[in-house]
Amino acid sequence: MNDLTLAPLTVVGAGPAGIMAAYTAAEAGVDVTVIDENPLPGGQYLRQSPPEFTIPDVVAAHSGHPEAAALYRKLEHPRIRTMHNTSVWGVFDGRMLALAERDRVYLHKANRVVIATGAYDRPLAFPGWTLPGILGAGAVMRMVKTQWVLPGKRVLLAGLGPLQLPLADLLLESGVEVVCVAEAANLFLGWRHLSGFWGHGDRIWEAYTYIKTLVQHRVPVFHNHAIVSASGKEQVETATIARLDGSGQPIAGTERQFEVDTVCLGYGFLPSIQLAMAFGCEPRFDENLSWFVPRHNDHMETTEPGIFVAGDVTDFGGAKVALAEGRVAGLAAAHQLGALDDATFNRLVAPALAELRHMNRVALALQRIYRFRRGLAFLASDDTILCRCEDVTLAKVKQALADGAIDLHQVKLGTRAGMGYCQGRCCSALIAPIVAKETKQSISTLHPFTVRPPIQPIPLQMLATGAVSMAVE
Amino acid sequence: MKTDVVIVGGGLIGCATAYYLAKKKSNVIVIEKDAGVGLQASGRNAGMVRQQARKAALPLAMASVRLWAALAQELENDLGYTRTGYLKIALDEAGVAVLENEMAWEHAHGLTEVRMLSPDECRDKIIGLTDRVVAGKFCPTDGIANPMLVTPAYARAAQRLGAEIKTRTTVTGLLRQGSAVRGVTTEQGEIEAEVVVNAAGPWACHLNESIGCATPITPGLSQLMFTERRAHNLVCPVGVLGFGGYFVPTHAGNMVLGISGVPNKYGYSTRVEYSDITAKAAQMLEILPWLSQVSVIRTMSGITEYTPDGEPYIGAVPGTRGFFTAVGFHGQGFCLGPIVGKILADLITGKESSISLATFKPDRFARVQG
Repeated sequence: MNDLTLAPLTVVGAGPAGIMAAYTAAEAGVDVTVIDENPLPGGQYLRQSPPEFTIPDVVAAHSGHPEAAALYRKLEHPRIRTMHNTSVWGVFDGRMLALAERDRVYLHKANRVVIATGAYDRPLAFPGWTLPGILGAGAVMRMVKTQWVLPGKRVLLAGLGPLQLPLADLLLESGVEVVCVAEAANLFLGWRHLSGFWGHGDRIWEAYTYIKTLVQHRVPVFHNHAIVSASGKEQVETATIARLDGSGQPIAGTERQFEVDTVCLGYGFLPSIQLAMAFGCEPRFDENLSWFVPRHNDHMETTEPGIFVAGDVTDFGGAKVALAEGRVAGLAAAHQLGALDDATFNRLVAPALAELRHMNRVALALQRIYRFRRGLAFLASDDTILCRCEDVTLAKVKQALADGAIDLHQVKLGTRAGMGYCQGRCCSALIAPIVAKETKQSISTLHPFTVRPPIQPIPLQMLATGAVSMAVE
Repeated sequence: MKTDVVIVGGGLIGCATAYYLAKKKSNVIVIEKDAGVGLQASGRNAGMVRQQARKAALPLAMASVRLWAALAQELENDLGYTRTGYLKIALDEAGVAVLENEMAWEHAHGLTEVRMLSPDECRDKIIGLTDRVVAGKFCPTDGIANPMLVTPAYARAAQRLGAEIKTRTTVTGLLRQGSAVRGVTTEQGEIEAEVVVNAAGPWACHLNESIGCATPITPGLSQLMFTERRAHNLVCPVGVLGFGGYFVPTHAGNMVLGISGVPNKYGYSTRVEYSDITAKAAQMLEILPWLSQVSVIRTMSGITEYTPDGEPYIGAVPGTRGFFTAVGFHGQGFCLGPIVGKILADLITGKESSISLATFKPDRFARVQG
């Protein structure tokens, strides 16, 4: 792809939110560039097998996203140009996106952007969590669905949220023994949010079919339980779960141990906020998520004018919310670009907002039921590693705090936590609650690590190609 | 509030001065605008502790390196200090003459361990170094330290001896009585002191000017690229004559690829510039071709202070009583920090400096500036 003419709207991420934002704006008459780091569109939720896989994708067909093909076709709109295998690794001079495509880098001027970068598996630190065989639920979903690789033979699922059910279902159908599902939510506390499901019979039906599979396979489901430790020599051999108290802390004496060869951790998702932060968008602390998301208004515009967000980067709502947010963001961007006059915009955005409110009701109810309770942030013991890139333990973090560090940045300087390959994507949410507790601050007042380029590691050979290529105006 | 000495600026110079003063039983308060100490250039540099290629500051650098040797023990803190040596290479004959002149200066000052290396000796030391190298100069007593640990270690050691560090506090002016400085005003009130030290780095000028001593400082942006960790790292930092960049190993196994600042190009911005990092990446591959598959994992930048003659301003500010400054280090502050802190503590407590500070007089440009 060498045609680098500037489109007035740039969409980053070709999952449901990004595709819908791009398509909506294109329909309104806006030329759109979609940038996606994968070889094929779909994002995490609708992830496709790599193009070199020629076997029919029966697992994906079985787990059922019949809407996927229609969604991908939206990218064939004549006003949309999609750049696959392209990642955004920095924002320079305010609105210049630094792109990495295969073996080269260049700048791409982007005045209006929809950030639809999605979310990633939330790490949970407990003694033994770094043992081989302990995997993120999203990674397992991806292994099974796109690579046809089973994670193990005896699997324990521990997590927080309704996505554990389809994963258990997928594993059972694939012939894996699921020893138990530990669900950290306390559904008794969740009943009061059930009114949010009014008018969402399809969602309830979907949940029912998953539960039916679990019952058929006699898989025990422990509610209000979390994984508290794992052990093994070369890899995980046993996993222990325990019941949680009201604050989400494990209750001593309630432990149950299971022999396993694999543990799938699905403690929800953290939004990929790095690009939004690089644009200077102000973060907002989300109480249910207990982490930061980009602040946005009703039209999905962030605190940076012309920079929109849509989908799971805003907080976890799933594909249907993502589509609705994408539609609103696409309309709002088209309106700002003058492709829609005020009257047309108002006429089109009203039903889109109504649809989003309808979807958000159930999303918000789910977020409340599956709230990340504080106690889950304190399962680590002193020798548990919090930063895997730099091998920084809880004890080292506590020492840095005892030595006078008062925020995440100073802990980073004192311990190297967050200085490694992932640039703090994983450890920042693990360390922040420790910092907040030890320094007696609210976690909501801490600032996540500063985002500096490159957002993803980039070989010098590639970086060097940027020296010769001209910026695209 | 009242104390013996107020130090403006919680960088390396300020915290080192506080430590050596506290050791002499002075009551010290350090005032820092940021949320912690050492968060600007003191913590945002490549960590080179280098004596080579200094001009007037060579005796200071040599004395500082003697302090660095026992500093971790003295401050009871790991500082990541290692004497790796430092290799400076020339890519043309003109550069060889420059290196030889530097070596003559260094030998004359007693840094006799400096020696020239042949191209083969350079390439033996740095595997895969470009064939373009014509000569090198190596000083085995140069080294590296971890900038992120040093200033906080000085601050903690000073605090253990009773010094106070006030962070998130901005100094707004000086308290004066005739020609004497009697303290500072801050956003949170006044602090009276017998002595005030201005160690506010690139932000120091207005305080010195307010007392009639212009200390011209031009900011420049030093940009650093950090690579992923490598199993086989550089054995020592490498500088290239006329290149505007340097290669430094860290104690953790990453490499720091430094891009020298250009005075006044970007003001006080601490952004990283696309054009600079891509251009320098391309040039760096010519020096160390094997870097091509090594990934950059993060970048950072800091403000280097440039002075008209390339030398810092150190000492009592003439025409006043009770006012000292140590600013404008022209990229030398990290190496010199320990000795400058020690000398300032001596000067403030009425002891002569063991090393002549004549070249570093704070008012040497004051008249020129009017």
